[in-house]
Amino acid sequence: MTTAMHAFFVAIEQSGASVWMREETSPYFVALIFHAWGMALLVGGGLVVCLAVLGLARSKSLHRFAGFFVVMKLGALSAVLSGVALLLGYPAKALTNPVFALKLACLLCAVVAMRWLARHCFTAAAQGLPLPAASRRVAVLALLFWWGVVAAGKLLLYSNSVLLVGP
Amino acid sequence: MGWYWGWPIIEIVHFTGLCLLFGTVALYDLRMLGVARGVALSSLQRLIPVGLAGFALSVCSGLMFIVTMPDQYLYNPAFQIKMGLLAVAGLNVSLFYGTTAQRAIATADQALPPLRARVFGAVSLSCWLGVIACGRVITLYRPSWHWCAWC
Repeated sequence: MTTAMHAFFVAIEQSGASVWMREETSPYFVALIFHAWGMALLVGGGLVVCLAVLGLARSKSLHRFAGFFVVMKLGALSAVLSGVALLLGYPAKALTNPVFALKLACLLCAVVAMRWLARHCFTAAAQGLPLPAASRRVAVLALLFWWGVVAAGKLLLYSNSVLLVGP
Repeated sequence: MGWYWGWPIIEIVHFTGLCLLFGTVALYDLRMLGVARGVALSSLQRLIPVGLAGFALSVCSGLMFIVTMPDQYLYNPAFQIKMGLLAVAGLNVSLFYGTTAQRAIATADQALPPLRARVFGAVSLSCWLGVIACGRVITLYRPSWHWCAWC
Protein backbone atom coordinates (compact mmCIF):
# COMPACT_ATOMS: atom_id res chain seq x y z
CA MET A 1 0.00 0.00 0.00
CA THR A 2 1.46 3.38 -0.95
CA THR A 3 1.68 6.30 1.47
CA ALA A 4 -0.95 8.21 -0.48
CA MET A 5 -3.38 5.27 -0.37
CA HIS A 6 -2.73 4.86 3.35
CA ALA A 7 -3.46 8.55 3.94
CA PHE A 8 -6.61 8.30 1.81
CA PHE A 9 -7.93 5.34 3.81
CA VAL A 10 -7.06 6.96 7.15
CA ALA A 11 -8.88 10.14 6.08
CA ILE A 12 -12.05 8.16 5.31
CA GLU A 13 -11.80 5.97 8.42
CA GLN A 14 -11.47 9.00 10.69
CA SER A 15 -14.44 10.83 9.16
CA GLY A 16 -17.58 11.09 11.25
CA ALA A 17 -19.62 9.08 8.77
CA SER A 18 -17.15 6.20 8.77
CA VAL A 19 -16.92 6.07 12.56
CA TRP A 20 -20.73 6.16 12.76
CA MET A 21 -21.05 3.25 10.30
CA ARG A 22 -18.49 1.18 12.25
CA GLU A 23 -19.38 1.93 15.85
CA GLU A 24 -23.17 2.19 15.78
CA THR A 25 -24.89 -1.17 15.36
CA SER A 26 -27.98 -0.05 13.46
CA PRO A 27 -26.56 1.77 10.41
CA TYR A 28 -24.23 -1.09 9.51
CA PHE A 29 -26.92 -3.75 9.69
CA VAL A 30 -29.51 -1.54 7.96
CA ALA A 31 -26.98 -1.09 5.13
CA LEU A 32 -26.43 -4.88 5.06
CA ILE A 33 -30.19 -5.49 4.80
CA PHE A 34 -30.66 -2.98 1.96
CA HIS A 35 -27.60 -4.42 0.22
CA ALA A 36 -29.04 -7.94 0.45
CA TRP A 37 -32.47 -6.75 -0.80
CA GLY A 38 -30.87 -4.83 -3.63
CA MET A 39 -28.66 -7.74 -4.68
CA ALA A 40 -31.57 -10.20 -4.46
CA LEU A 41 -33.73 -8.02 -6.72
CA LEU A 42 -30.90 -7.24 -9.14
CA VAL A 43 -29.45 -10.74 -9.41
CA GLY A 44 -32.82 -12.47 -9.06
CA GLY A 45 -34.29 -10.30 -11.80
CA GLY A 46 -31.25 -10.92 -13.99
CA LEU A 47 -31.59 -14.67 -13.48
CA VAL A 48 -35.26 -14.65 -14.48
CA VAL A 49 -34.62 -12.57 -17.62
CA CYS A 50 -31.77 -14.88 -18.66
CA LEU A 51 -33.89 -17.97 -18.03
CA ALA A 52 -36.63 -16.43 -20.17
CA VAL A 53 -34.14 -15.89 -23.04
CA LEU A 54 -32.98 -19.49 -22.63
CA GLY A 55 -36.56 -20.58 -23.26
CA LEU A 56 -37.50 -21.81 -19.79
CA ALA A 57 -40.37 -19.36 -19.50
CA ARG A 58 -41.68 -20.10 -23.00
CA SER A 59 -43.28 -16.73 -23.47
CA LYS A 60 -44.77 -15.41 -26.69
CA SER A 61 -43.87 -11.93 -25.46
CA LEU A 62 -40.24 -12.28 -24.43
CA HIS A 63 -39.69 -8.54 -24.87
CA ARG A 64 -42.26 -7.89 -22.13
CA PHE A 65 -39.74 -9.24 -19.61
CA ALA A 66 -38.01 -5.89 -20.10
CA GLY A 67 -40.72 -4.61 -17.74
CA PHE A 68 -38.71 -6.19 -14.93
CA PHE A 69 -35.71 -3.98 -15.70
CA VAL A 70 -37.24 -1.29 -13.49
CA VAL A 71 -37.15 -3.78 -10.59
CA MET A 72 -33.53 -4.57 -11.37
CA LYS A 73 -32.67 -0.87 -11.51
CA LEU A 74 -34.30 -0.28 -8.11
CA GLY A 75 -32.34 -3.23 -6.77
CA ALA A 76 -29.14 -1.84 -8.25
CA LEU A 77 -29.81 1.58 -6.69
CA SER A 78 -30.35 0.01 -3.28
CA ALA A 79 -27.25 -2.16 -3.65
CA VAL A 80 -25.03 0.72 -4.79
CA LEU A 81 -26.15 3.18 -2.09
CA SER A 82 -25.87 0.60 0.67
CA GLY A 83 -22.61 -0.66 -0.80
CA VAL A 84 -21.13 2.83 -0.61
CA ALA A 85 -22.29 3.05 3.00
CA LEU A 86 -20.61 -0.28 3.80
CA LEU A 87 -17.44 0.87 2.00
CA LEU A 88 -17.48 4.02 4.07
CA GLY A 89 -17.22 1.95 7.24
CA TYR A 90 -14.33 -0.24 6.10
CA PRO A 91 -12.79 1.31 2.98
CA ALA A 92 -9.41 -0.44 3.14
CA LYS A 93 -11.01 -3.84 3.76
CA ALA A 94 -12.74 -3.78 0.37
CA LEU A 95 -10.52 -1.54 -1.73
CA THR A 96 -7.33 -3.53 -1.00
CA ASN A 97 -9.08 -6.85 -1.65
CA PRO A 98 -8.76 -8.22 -5.21
CA VAL A 99 -11.96 -10.20 -4.67
CA PHE A 100 -13.83 -6.88 -4.47
CA ALA A 101 -12.40 -5.93 -7.86
CA LEU A 102 -13.53 -9.33 -9.16
CA LYS A 103 -17.06 -8.66 -7.82
CA LEU A 104 -17.24 -5.30 -9.60
CA ALA A 105 -15.81 -6.81 -12.81
CA CYS A 106 -18.45 -9.57 -12.78
CA LEU A 107 -21.14 -6.95 -12.13
CA LEU A 108 -19.96 -4.83 -15.08
CA CYS A 109 -19.85 -7.87 -17.38
CA ALA A 110 -23.33 -8.96 -16.25
CA VAL A 111 -24.72 -5.49 -16.96
CA VAL A 112 -23.09 -5.44 -20.44
CA ALA A 113 -24.56 -8.87 -21.20
CA MET A 114 -28.02 -7.78 -20.02
CA ARG A 115 -27.87 -4.66 -22.19
CA TRP A 116 -26.92 -6.85 -25.18
CA LEU A 117 -29.91 -9.09 -24.48
CA ALA A 118 -32.21 -6.07 -24.20
CA ARG A 119 -30.90 -4.46 -27.37
CA HIS A 120 -30.79 -7.56 -29.58
CA CYS A 121 -33.10 -10.24 -28.17
CA PHE A 122 -35.95 -8.12 -26.94
CA THR A 123 -35.93 -6.00 -30.10
CA ALA A 124 -36.11 -9.14 -32.26
CA ALA A 125 -38.85 -10.62 -30.06
CA ALA A 126 -40.90 -7.41 -30.25
CA GLN A 127 -40.74 -7.58 -34.07
CA GLY A 128 -41.65 -11.28 -34.13
CA LEU A 129 -38.23 -12.19 -35.50
CA PRO A 130 -36.11 -15.17 -34.38
CA LEU A 131 -33.62 -14.44 -31.63
CA PRO A 132 -29.99 -13.82 -32.64
CA ALA A 133 -27.83 -16.93 -32.75
CA ALA A 134 -25.67 -15.71 -29.87
CA SER A 135 -28.63 -15.13 -27.52
CA ARG A 136 -28.33 -18.35 -25.56
CA ARG A 137 -24.56 -18.01 -25.16
CA VAL A 138 -24.91 -14.44 -23.90
CA ALA A 139 -27.71 -15.46 -21.51
CA VAL A 140 -25.55 -18.27 -20.09
CA LEU A 141 -22.62 -15.86 -19.75
CA ALA A 142 -24.86 -13.37 -17.97
CA LEU A 143 -25.99 -16.12 -15.55
CA LEU A 144 -22.36 -16.99 -14.81
CA PHE A 145 -21.45 -13.34 -14.24
CA TRP A 146 -24.43 -12.83 -11.91
CA TRP A 147 -23.34 -15.90 -9.96
CA GLY A 148 -19.80 -14.47 -9.88
CA VAL A 149 -21.13 -11.29 -8.25
CA VAL A 150 -22.84 -13.37 -5.55
CA ALA A 151 -19.86 -15.65 -4.94
CA ALA A 152 -17.30 -12.83 -4.84
CA GLY A 153 -19.52 -10.85 -2.49
CA LYS A 154 -19.71 -13.75 -0.05
CA LEU A 155 -15.94 -14.34 -0.21
CA LEU A 156 -15.15 -10.72 0.69
CA LEU A 157 -15.48 -11.35 4.41
CA TYR A 158 -12.99 -14.23 4.29
CA SER A 159 -10.41 -12.93 1.84
CA ASN A 160 -9.44 -9.49 3.13
CA SER A 161 -5.93 -8.96 4.48
CA VAL A 162 -6.63 -5.49 5.92
CA LEU A 163 -9.51 -4.40 8.15
CA LEU A 164 -8.58 -0.88 9.21
CA VAL A 165 -5.37 0.99 8.42
CA GLY A 166 -5.77 3.66 11.09
CA PRO A 167 -5.42 3.50 14.89
CA MET B 1 -17.15 -27.74 9.07
CA GLY B 2 -13.50 -27.85 10.08
CA TRP B 3 -12.20 -26.46 6.80
CA TYR B 4 -11.69 -22.66 6.70
CA TRP B 5 -13.36 -22.29 3.29
CA GLY B 6 -16.26 -24.57 4.20
CA TRP B 7 -18.39 -21.83 5.70
CA PRO B 8 -17.98 -19.29 2.85
CA ILE B 9 -18.67 -22.00 0.26
CA ILE B 10 -21.89 -22.95 2.03
CA GLU B 11 -22.77 -19.24 2.25
CA ILE B 12 -22.32 -18.98 -1.53
CA VAL B 13 -24.60 -21.99 -2.04
CA HIS B 14 -27.14 -20.49 0.39
CA PHE B 15 -27.23 -17.11 -1.35
CA THR B 16 -27.28 -18.73 -4.81
CA GLY B 17 -30.35 -20.67 -3.74
CA LEU B 18 -31.85 -17.50 -2.32
CA CYS B 19 -31.33 -15.59 -5.59
CA LEU B 20 -32.94 -18.39 -7.61
CA LEU B 21 -35.86 -18.59 -5.18
CA PHE B 22 -36.33 -14.87 -4.63
CA GLY B 23 -35.85 -14.06 -8.30
CA THR B 24 -38.61 -16.37 -9.47
CA VAL B 25 -40.99 -15.87 -6.55
CA ALA B 26 -40.51 -12.10 -6.19
CA LEU B 27 -40.98 -11.44 -9.91
CA TYR B 28 -44.09 -13.65 -9.87
CA ASP B 29 -45.40 -11.63 -6.90
CA LEU B 30 -44.49 -8.33 -8.55
CA ARG B 31 -46.28 -9.36 -11.75
CA MET B 32 -49.35 -10.15 -9.65
CA LEU B 33 -49.04 -6.64 -8.21
CA GLY B 34 -49.02 -5.16 -11.72
CA VAL B 35 -45.31 -4.80 -12.57
CA ALA B 36 -44.29 -5.84 -16.12
CA ARG B 37 -47.81 -6.23 -17.45
CA GLY B 38 -47.68 -8.15 -20.68
CA VAL B 39 -45.72 -10.98 -19.10
CA ALA B 40 -48.12 -13.87 -18.70
CA LEU B 41 -48.29 -15.41 -15.23
CA SER B 42 -48.30 -18.78 -16.97
CA SER B 43 -44.79 -17.98 -18.31
CA LEU B 44 -43.54 -17.10 -14.84
CA GLN B 45 -45.28 -20.21 -13.48
CA ARG B 46 -42.88 -22.31 -15.60
CA LEU B 47 -39.96 -20.83 -13.67
CA ILE B 48 -41.33 -21.93 -10.28
CA PRO B 49 -39.41 -25.28 -10.43
CA VAL B 50 -36.22 -23.18 -10.65
CA GLY B 51 -37.35 -21.37 -7.52
CA LEU B 52 -38.03 -24.68 -5.81
CA ALA B 53 -34.53 -25.85 -6.72
CA GLY B 54 -33.21 -22.65 -5.17
CA PHE B 55 -35.26 -23.31 -2.04
CA ALA B 56 -33.82 -26.83 -1.83
CA LEU B 57 -30.28 -25.40 -2.09
CA SER B 58 -31.05 -22.86 0.62
CA VAL B 59 -32.57 -25.46 2.96
CA CYS B 60 -29.67 -27.92 2.55
CA SER B 61 -27.03 -25.23 3.06
CA GLY B 62 -29.01 -23.72 5.93
CA LEU B 63 -29.15 -27.08 7.68
CA MET B 64 -25.37 -27.26 7.41
CA PHE B 65 -25.08 -23.92 9.21
CA ILE B 66 -27.40 -25.11 11.98
CA VAL B 67 -25.70 -28.48 12.40
CA THR B 68 -22.29 -26.78 12.67
CA MET B 69 -23.31 -24.17 15.27
CA PRO B 70 -26.77 -25.07 16.56
CA ASP B 71 -26.78 -22.69 19.53
CA GLN B 72 -25.96 -19.72 17.27
CA TYR B 73 -29.23 -20.31 15.44
CA LEU B 74 -31.72 -22.14 17.63
CA TYR B 75 -31.50 -19.57 20.46
CA ASN B 76 -31.24 -16.62 18.08
CA PRO B 77 -34.38 -14.44 17.86
CA ALA B 78 -33.54 -13.30 14.32
CA PHE B 79 -33.37 -16.93 13.19
CA GLN B 80 -36.60 -17.77 14.98
CA ILE B 81 -38.41 -14.88 13.28
CA LYS B 82 -36.90 -15.96 9.94
CA MET B 83 -38.32 -19.47 10.40
CA GLY B 84 -41.67 -17.97 11.39
CA LEU B 85 -41.76 -15.87 8.21
CA LEU B 86 -40.85 -18.96 6.17
CA ALA B 87 -43.80 -20.78 7.71
CA VAL B 88 -46.12 -17.85 6.88
CA ALA B 89 -44.78 -17.78 3.31
CA GLY B 90 -45.39 -21.53 3.02
CA LEU B 91 -48.94 -21.21 4.33
CA ASN B 92 -49.55 -18.25 2.02
CA VAL B 93 -48.41 -20.13 -1.10
CA SER B 94 -50.46 -23.19 -0.13
CA LEU B 95 -53.58 -21.06 0.24
CA PHE B 96 -52.81 -19.27 -3.04
CA TYR B 97 -52.52 -22.50 -5.01
CA GLY B 98 -55.50 -23.99 -3.19
CA THR B 99 -57.88 -21.11 -3.79
CA THR B 100 -56.76 -18.52 -6.33
CA ALA B 101 -53.92 -19.64 -8.61
CA GLN B 102 -56.04 -20.97 -11.49
CA ARG B 103 -58.00 -17.72 -11.79
CA ALA B 104 -54.82 -15.64 -11.46
CA ILE B 105 -52.90 -17.62 -14.10
CA ALA B 106 -55.84 -17.37 -16.49
CA THR B 107 -55.74 -13.55 -16.28
CA ALA B 108 -55.06 -11.81 -19.59
CA ASP B 109 -51.44 -10.73 -20.11
CA GLN B 110 -52.10 -7.01 -19.75
CA ALA B 111 -54.64 -7.26 -16.93
CA LEU B 112 -54.23 -7.18 -13.17
CA PRO B 113 -54.97 -10.50 -11.45
CA PRO B 114 -57.92 -10.65 -9.02
CA LEU B 115 -57.60 -8.71 -5.74
CA ARG B 116 -57.19 -11.89 -3.69
CA ALA B 117 -54.19 -12.89 -5.83
CA ARG B 118 -52.64 -9.48 -5.32
CA VAL B 119 -53.02 -9.83 -1.56
CA PHE B 120 -51.31 -13.23 -1.69
CA GLY B 121 -48.53 -11.64 -3.77
CA ALA B 122 -48.05 -8.77 -1.32
CA VAL B 123 -47.92 -11.14 1.67
CA SER B 124 -45.46 -13.41 -0.13
CA LEU B 125 -43.15 -10.55 -1.13
CA SER B 126 -43.22 -9.10 2.40
CA CYS B 127 -42.40 -12.49 3.92
CA TRP B 128 -39.44 -13.09 1.63
CA LEU B 129 -38.05 -9.58 2.18
CA GLY B 130 -38.39 -10.26 5.90
CA VAL B 131 -36.60 -13.60 5.56
CA ILE B 132 -33.67 -11.86 3.85
CA ALA B 133 -33.55 -9.09 6.47
CA CYS B 134 -33.64 -11.55 9.38
CA GLY B 135 -30.92 -13.59 7.71
CA ARG B 136 -28.66 -10.55 7.60
CA VAL B 137 -29.10 -9.74 11.29
CA ILE B 138 -28.58 -13.29 12.59
CA THR B 139 -24.98 -12.37 13.45
CA LEU B 140 -26.22 -9.32 15.38
CA TYR B 141 -28.40 -11.45 17.67
CA ARG B 142 -26.17 -14.46 18.16
CA PRO B 143 -26.07 -15.74 21.77
CA SER B 144 -23.78 -13.77 24.07
CA TRP B 145 -21.10 -16.45 24.41
CA HIS B 146 -20.24 -15.94 20.72
CA TRP B 147 -19.46 -12.24 21.16
CA CYS B 148 -16.09 -12.79 22.75
CA ALA B 149 -13.57 -14.27 20.35
CA TRP B 150 -10.93 -14.76 23.01
CA CYS B 151 -13.13 -16.23 25.80
